[in-house]
Amino acid sequence: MSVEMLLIPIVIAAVGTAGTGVSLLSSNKEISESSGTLIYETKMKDTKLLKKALEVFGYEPFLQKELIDITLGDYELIFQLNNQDIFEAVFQGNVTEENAQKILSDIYDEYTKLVQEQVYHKVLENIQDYDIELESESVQDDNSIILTLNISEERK
Amino acid sequence: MSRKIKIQIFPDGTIQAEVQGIKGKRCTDYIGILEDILEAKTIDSDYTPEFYQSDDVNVVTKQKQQLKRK
Repeated sequence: MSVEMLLIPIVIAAVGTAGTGVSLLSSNKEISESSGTLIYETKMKDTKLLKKALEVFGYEPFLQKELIDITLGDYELIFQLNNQDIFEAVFQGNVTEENAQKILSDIYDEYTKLVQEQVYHKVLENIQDYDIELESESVQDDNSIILTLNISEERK
Repeated sequence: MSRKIKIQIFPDGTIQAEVQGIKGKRCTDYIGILEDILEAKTIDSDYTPEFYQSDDVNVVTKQKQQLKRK
C-alpha cells in the first residue's frame, strides 16, 4: 500500500450537513414556524440527478432556470440553488417539520444511490484516458461497489 | 508487487480509494488522477508504510555506513 484517500463526488457538497444530508436552516426557523415555510439546506448539487431522484418517488418535477418545483397536495416543495450552487429545499404550505425532514432524507438517499451509479460508470469511462484497466468488480453486502484497477507497465 | 488501485464506492456517495504497490512520492501523482477518474474531491488522505519505502533507502544505508566509520 502507499496512499489511501477518502473522496466526495463533486455532485455532493463536501461541507455543511452530515448524515442525512439535510438540515433545517436555523436562521430561518422562527420565520419558518410563523409563516408555514420550512427551508432546509441539503448537500445536493446536480440538477439532473436530483430530478431523477424525485422521479423515482413518482414526483413530477417542474424545472425552471435554477429551480425544481413539485406541488403535492397541501404543500409545494421547491429546490433552489444557493450562492454556493448547492440546493436548498423550501416547503410551503401544510407540512410538518417531521414529514419534511423524512421526505428530504428519502430523496437524499435516492440521490446518493444515483451518485454511486454515476461514479461507477464514470470510472469505467474515464480510465480509458489513462493506462489503467479494470481487473475486477464486486458488490458487497453493504451495497458498496469495489473496483480493482490495474496500472499498466507503461505508467510505472 | 503489482500496482493497483482499489476503489470502493458506497451508497451514500462517498468513495474510498487505495493506491497499492507504488512507493515514495510517485504515489501522490495518483491523488490527482483519481480525482479526475472519479470526478471527486479528496477530503482526507493518508500515506501507508509503503510510501516511506523508496529509493531514499540507499541514502539511509550510506548514512549508516558513515556512522559506523565514526
